[in-house]
Amino acid sequence: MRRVRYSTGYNRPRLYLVVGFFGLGFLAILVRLTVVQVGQYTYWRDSAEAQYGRRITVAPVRGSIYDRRNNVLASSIPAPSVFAAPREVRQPGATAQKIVSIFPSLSRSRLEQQLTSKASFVWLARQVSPEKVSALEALELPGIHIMKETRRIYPRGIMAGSTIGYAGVDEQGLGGLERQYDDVLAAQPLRTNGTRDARGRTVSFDQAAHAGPPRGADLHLTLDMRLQHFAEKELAQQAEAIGARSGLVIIMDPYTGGILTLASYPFFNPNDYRNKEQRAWRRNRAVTDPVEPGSTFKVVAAAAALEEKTLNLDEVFFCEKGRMIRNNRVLRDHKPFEFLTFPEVMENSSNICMAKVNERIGSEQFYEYIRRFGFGEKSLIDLPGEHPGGIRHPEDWSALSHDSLTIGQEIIVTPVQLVTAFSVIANGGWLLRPRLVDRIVKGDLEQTFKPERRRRILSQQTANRLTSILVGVVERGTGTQAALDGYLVAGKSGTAQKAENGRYSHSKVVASFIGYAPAEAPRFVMLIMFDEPKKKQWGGSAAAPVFRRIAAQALHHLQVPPGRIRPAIEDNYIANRTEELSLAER
Amino acid sequence: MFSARRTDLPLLIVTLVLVTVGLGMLYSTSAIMAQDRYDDSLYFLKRQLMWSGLGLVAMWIAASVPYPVQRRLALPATGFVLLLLVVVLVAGKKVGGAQRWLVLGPFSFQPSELAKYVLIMYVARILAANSHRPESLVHTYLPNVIMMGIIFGLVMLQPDLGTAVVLVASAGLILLIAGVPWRYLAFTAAGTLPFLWYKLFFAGYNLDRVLAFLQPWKDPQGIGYQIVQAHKALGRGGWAGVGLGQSQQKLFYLPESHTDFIFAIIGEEMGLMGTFALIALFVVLLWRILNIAVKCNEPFGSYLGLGIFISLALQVTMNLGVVSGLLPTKGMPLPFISHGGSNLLFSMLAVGTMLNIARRKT
Repeated sequence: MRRVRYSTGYNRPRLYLVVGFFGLGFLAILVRLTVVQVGQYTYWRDSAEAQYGRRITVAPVRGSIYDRRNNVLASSIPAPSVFAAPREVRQPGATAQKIVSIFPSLSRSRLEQQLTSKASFVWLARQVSPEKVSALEALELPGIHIMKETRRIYPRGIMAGSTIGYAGVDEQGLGGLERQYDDVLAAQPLRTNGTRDARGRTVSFDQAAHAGPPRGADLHLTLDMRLQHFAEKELAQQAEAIGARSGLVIIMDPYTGGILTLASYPFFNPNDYRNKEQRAWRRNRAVTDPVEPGSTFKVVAAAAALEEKTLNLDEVFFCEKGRMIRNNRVLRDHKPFEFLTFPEVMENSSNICMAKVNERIGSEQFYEYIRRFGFGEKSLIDLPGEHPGGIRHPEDWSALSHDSLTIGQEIIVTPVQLVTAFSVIANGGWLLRPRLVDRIVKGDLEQTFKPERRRRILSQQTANRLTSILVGVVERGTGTQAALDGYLVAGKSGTAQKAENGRYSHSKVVASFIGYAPAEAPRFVMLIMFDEPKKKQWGGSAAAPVFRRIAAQALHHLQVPPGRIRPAIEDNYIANRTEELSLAER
Repeated sequence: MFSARRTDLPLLIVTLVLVTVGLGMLYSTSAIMAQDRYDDSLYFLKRQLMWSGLGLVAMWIAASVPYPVQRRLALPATGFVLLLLVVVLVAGKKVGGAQRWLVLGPFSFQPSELAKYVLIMYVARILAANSHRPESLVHTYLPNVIMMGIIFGLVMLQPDLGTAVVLVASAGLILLIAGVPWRYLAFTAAGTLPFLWYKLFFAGYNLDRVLAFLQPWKDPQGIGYQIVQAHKALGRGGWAGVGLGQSQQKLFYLPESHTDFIFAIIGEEMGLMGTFALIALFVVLLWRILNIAVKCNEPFGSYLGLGIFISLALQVTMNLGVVSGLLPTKGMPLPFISHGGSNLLFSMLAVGTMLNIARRKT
């Protein structure tokens, strides 16, 4: 080995060797960098971009629901959810322990199971409080993520519950208006491109996402929560007092078709829609559950008689002292009547005489009237699951059908159909489409629904005459318990025996009263209906008093000035409305 | 005996440029993590600034105090380092399974970084004293190899394989250049390599790293993760980089992106032009150091300068080799650039020494 000594004390060839070695090292690094940074640029760039790439989904906020006075009925509040990406979880046991310390309601063993599952995504806790989520976020547990979600709340609880309906855990409308207007209330999630860091947090996203989450449109209803409150209070009180299975109140503006109140007892609380006990009351029975109407349906035959002028109003009918056999069937009245004029027939709700009145109309024509009033077809109210009711075609009628239909049997109608039919009389002859949404508001855009007249089915004169007759019902007849001081009320009670095993039950009835006030210029039509009251089984005693109590408060709330103190209309039943009004002024 | 010469400006300037670039890139790579971890995006930068202040002071002192003083300090300093290396094993702060840091108030100090410098002092001191008999077994070889062995052992106990290898390789290469016979060195290598072999392939911790090095793409989410992410960073940079501060890989994709793997982020943000420019700076730095060492006519200064050259050159090439995937992953800072105060302090001190050697000529 050659050893060259220098005074400086180092071996120059060996120095060159070492320096050359480092030189080669730098050269290798330069080559390597060129290969990676330039040669393989596309490959590494794409593989890097792939891990940042993120389709950001900005969850939408569902629109709110307001009543006509801008009270919030349904709204969405932030309620973040916790989920796990089990593959990212490092220590399932410790992680589960920490999660349980924040969410004591979760089971530790179940959490561990979820955290070790093969799924790429597992919900751990849905829609929890933001405070708990911040506590969880602070722990920075790998594989545990938060998703921003919102939860539907119904600040008014049971009020108009089955009408407003409910939205599910993913804010999808499942019942009532929430379902009917789901596509309006919901908004599409905003999907945009963004980047994320290795912990899955979003670093940047497209400009569009800065505008905030997409919002669904708001619904402004025709409902009036004050009226709803009066109605629900009286409804619940009476239903409990008379032991009814269920009860309904519908209040409708006869000129617009707008529903002011739709109360259904027992009440449904949409905040608690998963509760088993609540489940039975989720449906809106005012549109989904048709019933035999009973005597309230007599207004159809009465309207036909007046419109077709088949009788004189002072014509007297013999009511067979309460019992008559027609077509091998016994027709009964609730009490024996002898001679009654047509208005008196209505006032006393005589089945026998009403059948006699209506035999002057042919079956085809009677059927035509029933259909014109909107029975047997959907009212087109904006609620899901509407039942069209049911009526057979005259070809399928038996010999008894004509009489049965006259007094509201052999037909099923929904309460909404009934209240809509009475609105025809109240508004002077127009069949309107009932509706609950007044306008849809999205940002600056507003869509207002105009009252929709479906068809004119009665003349003004017929409507006026029928109103006078219905005023008589309340003044002197079966509806006296609905009478109000200071206002004229028109209405008709109904007591329908429920069919049971093919026969009419004597103990199970649907007691109802439908009326409107003030009769000369109605502000609302109101239906009261109780299913199977144990006490007070007559519409006139079970339902009419509820009408009176709610109507009194409603008229006050709507600031309707009193028209008169108990008018005297003994003689001139058929005075048209203008005459009545002028009388009233004096 | 010594005549004052002018300061070696190229060396001073390139050092300051490197430190400045380092601070800039440290901020870029650490800000988000610092914000995330300490709620203060300047957390790492502030610390590194303090250290670079200390480094400037150390550099100024080393440049001002005649370097022969270091010859007299070499043995006491070696004793002090041995003491610190023992203390750190007893009272050091444990981070991630390794006990490498002594905590003094707000500062964490790594005795092994001091050891890198002091071992060079020691070797230079022994070699200079025996410059007439570099091939002597007893006077030259044994005193050096024994000290190398002790320090290597103490550092391996921390454990810190990367630093231990740099320590031994630097000292060994000085011995080689000084003219220690090949057979001694071959004997040393024969005694050391089986141990390294064992450490690399049979100690699980390091085996994973070697496996990751050999087949990084096999399990990119597992042990090869860091290498793959470093490649993504470098590769994504392309020619010109994605722009200063625009790195995505630093967003927690690339672990140690502000320390050992900071070069990958430089490659991502400044592209091939940036990596080449930085390497050029290092080459200039090393070239100046080598020049000064070679021109020094006095043995101790010459050995000290060569030792500093070798130590820095080793650290730079090993770090770049690791980051570019040429070497197995090992904890190894990039001098002047990576976050880490001790390394910066002693790198700057070393430059100061070189400035002093350059100023004085026999």
